[in-house]
Amino acid sequence: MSVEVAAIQPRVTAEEGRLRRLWRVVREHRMLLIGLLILAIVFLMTTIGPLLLAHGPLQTNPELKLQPPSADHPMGTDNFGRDILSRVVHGARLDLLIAFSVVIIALGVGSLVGTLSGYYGGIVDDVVMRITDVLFSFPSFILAMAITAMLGNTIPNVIIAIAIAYIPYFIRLTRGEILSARELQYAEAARCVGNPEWRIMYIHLLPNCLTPSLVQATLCLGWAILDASGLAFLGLGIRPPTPEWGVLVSEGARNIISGQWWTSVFPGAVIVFTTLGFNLVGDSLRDITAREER
Amino acid sequence: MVEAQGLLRIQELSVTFPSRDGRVAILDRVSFEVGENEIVGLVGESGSGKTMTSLTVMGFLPPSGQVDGGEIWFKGKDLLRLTEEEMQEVRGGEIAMIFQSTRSALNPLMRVGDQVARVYQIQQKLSAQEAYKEAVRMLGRMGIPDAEERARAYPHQLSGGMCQRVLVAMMVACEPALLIADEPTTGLDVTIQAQIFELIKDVQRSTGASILLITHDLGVIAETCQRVVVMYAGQVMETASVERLFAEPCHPYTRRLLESVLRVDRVVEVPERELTPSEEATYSLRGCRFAPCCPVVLPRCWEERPARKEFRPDHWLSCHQI
Amino acid sequence: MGPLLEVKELVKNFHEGGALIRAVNEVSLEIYPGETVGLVGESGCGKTTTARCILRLTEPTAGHIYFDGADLTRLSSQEMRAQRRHLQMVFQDPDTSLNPRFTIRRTLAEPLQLHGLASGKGLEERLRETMVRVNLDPNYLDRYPHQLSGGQKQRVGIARAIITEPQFVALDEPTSSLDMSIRIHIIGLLKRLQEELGMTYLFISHDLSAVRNLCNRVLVMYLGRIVEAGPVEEIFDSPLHYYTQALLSAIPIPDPRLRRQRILLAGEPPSLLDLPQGCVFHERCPDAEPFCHRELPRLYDAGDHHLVACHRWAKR
Repeated sequence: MSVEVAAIQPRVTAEEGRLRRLWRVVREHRMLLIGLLILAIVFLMTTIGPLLLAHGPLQTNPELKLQPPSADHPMGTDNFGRDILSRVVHGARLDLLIAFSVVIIALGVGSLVGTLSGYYGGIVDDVVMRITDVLFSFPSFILAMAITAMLGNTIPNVIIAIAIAYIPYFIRLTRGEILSARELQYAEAARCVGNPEWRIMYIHLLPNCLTPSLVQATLCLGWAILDASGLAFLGLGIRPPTPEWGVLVSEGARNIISGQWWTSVFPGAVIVFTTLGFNLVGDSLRDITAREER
Repeated sequence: MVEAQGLLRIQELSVTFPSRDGRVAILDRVSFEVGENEIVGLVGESGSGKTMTSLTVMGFLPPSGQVDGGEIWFKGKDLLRLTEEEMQEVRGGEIAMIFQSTRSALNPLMRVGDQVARVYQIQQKLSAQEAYKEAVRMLGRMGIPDAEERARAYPHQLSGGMCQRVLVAMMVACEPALLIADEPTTGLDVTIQAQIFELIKDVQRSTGASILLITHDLGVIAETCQRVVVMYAGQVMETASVERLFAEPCHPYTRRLLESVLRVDRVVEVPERELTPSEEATYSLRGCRFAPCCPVVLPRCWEERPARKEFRPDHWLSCHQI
Repeated sequence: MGPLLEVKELVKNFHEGGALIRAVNEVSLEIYPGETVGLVGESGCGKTTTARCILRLTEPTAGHIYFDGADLTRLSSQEMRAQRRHLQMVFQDPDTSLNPRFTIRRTLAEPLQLHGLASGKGLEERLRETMVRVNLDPNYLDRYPHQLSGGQKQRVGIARAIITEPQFVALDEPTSSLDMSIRIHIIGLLKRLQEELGMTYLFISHDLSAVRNLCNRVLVMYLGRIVEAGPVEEIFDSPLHYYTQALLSAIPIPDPRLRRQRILLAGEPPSLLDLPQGCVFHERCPDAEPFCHRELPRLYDAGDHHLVACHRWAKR
């Protein structure tokens, strides 16, 4: 019943200022607000953080090794006497760089290929779908591990490896949207007016089909951090002494048994905190866009 | 002869919805009657409030809508004052309705014969077997060929016209006193539309029920209805018999409407001015909502809502001009 | 003077899950410059598919389409794109035929830019001029489709079609989703534009009252074939094919004094998957003879440029 009557909502009430609507949406979604807050903190940490730090991330101080959290070292020091807070803050920059690079590549390649696949169908679609099937058959972390092992342990390789694992998601999402969008009349009108195929695909259709991909991209930002940290923890990808959260957790892991919990727990907590932020934002966006589409 | 009480009498019904600046009256003091044994047409353009009126009668107002005044009298009861349980008694058995989107009104997972049979079970309290037999008979009466076989079909296997006949069958099976048909032929082909309207007229003749037919098509009104209610922007402008309305339309809006209708039997002159009011301006008016487009508007039309007057026997008008 | 558009033996088949659907079945027609030809019929008759084939928005299965002498079916996609400035279409649904992310300005400017017809200041002037032509406030250029009403969106669709000053415009049900009181104004607008810009129209519609008011010639389609053709008064005042008669009688007239005798056709149209042998209409025809089941009727001449695909009018 409600579906039917919802369809005849009077148009008079539909228009609401864009900014006001944005504010109402944010207010109604606590999770979104909290997620954004978390991300704001992380963002501040990466930008302003380094300027406020008392110590450098690579500054060793052997006599101060493995000190518990104190006023001078709020997160304590590691077994080389380095300030953990400083390493966490610098690690943030690296992890976020990796996360955004991964997502930009995966989203970019995925939506370009997905558009081609969805628009043309036929053999092109079949080939692309079989390739994504293969990629999907591996858990993304395993895939990233395999690729990193093949390519070598550098930051660019880590980025490429994780991006490759995520590309299939974006191909699928974009392809799905394009499949329905290409039947709409404005796509036909675009052809009628004289647009070449590539313009119809990338200038008319794709911009209208990006919403699910953007939501997924937000979630992928969080996953990328987990994947990068995970790889580093296992010794693949980024290696010490480069401050990266996974490296920090790995370095500190052996100290937990001997009681110096701060070396591992702080970096780990920051990973969880940041990923939580991205997940909250991503999930809320998914709920919001799904509701608006109804 | 004027029906004093009538079967359905809507009186000063107002329904509001939330909007950017408070609440807006989507229905503004709507009043009209449906008598016994007649087909009344409710005509207006999209957004005029005709569907909202029928939904309010059935108690299907969307959650954000609110009745702000008025009464809906049906067989001595004010429907607006009934509880949900009492309304459920009324729905179906007393007042039945068919909607625009045919296919979504039928259960896609149930055979059509069973759906009609269900109605018999609930409304007429028949046993499952008897109900099914009646259902097949009814489908046949609705003009569905090979009714026995078609009854076993699922909605997606039937054409739009067939589905609509099934819905009419379900409606008639309820044996209601009042049938509300809201644009029952949207999306159907012209020749099928003609069949469905003939069916509706047959049903009315054989059951003696009254029908409230909602449509934007003046041709359908002329050929199917006995009386007409003309709505614009949530207000009733004119009510009259079909012959009177077409021969001597009195409200400026009705006149404008009749002038701008395209016909199959001759070429029509395009009227000079077009009706393009801004929605917000229209709905916030205190007076007559047709004022912004009215060719004979008076200053008082903007401020003061014209009262509904029966200025000729059974010809009601809401206009300051008389 | 030769025809502007000539369609010869057009065939369009669709394959749906293994089944063959003959949507358009050997349709031939001619349209002369300045004409407004109506293509009418109910859903599934093939009128929209015919138009889409003419504009090569769908590829015809067989047949030829001659526009201004050139065979469109033989053009490469690049050549076809160049031709598109002369052949345009107004689409049915104003809600989905405009790109929701484009401003009106962008939607209207695109055809001009794609064909290199205007740029800079000239472009802006052309845009404003076209908006005024279709009775839209030029300030709406910066709006998005969702900020316009249905009637306004349809005008934008018309503006987009005429902005390159095409010779030929196909209009696919341009009034079907609009309110009754707006339809007549859109028809009036289309008439005026045709005079101003000297265009030729193919008007596709199941709304016969709109066709009556706009077209000078009418073609009636049923199940992929043309069953009747002729000048508009001939077709509307003296329809010869039973289907045309039934179609016309089904349309309600807004005048209660004219209670007519309705011609109700028996049953429903057969499915396109299972076309009957011989005349496509014989199963529902009250006058069908065994011969009708065997032989497909051509379009026979019934005098006064009136053609009917019915054996009753075969030359005796």
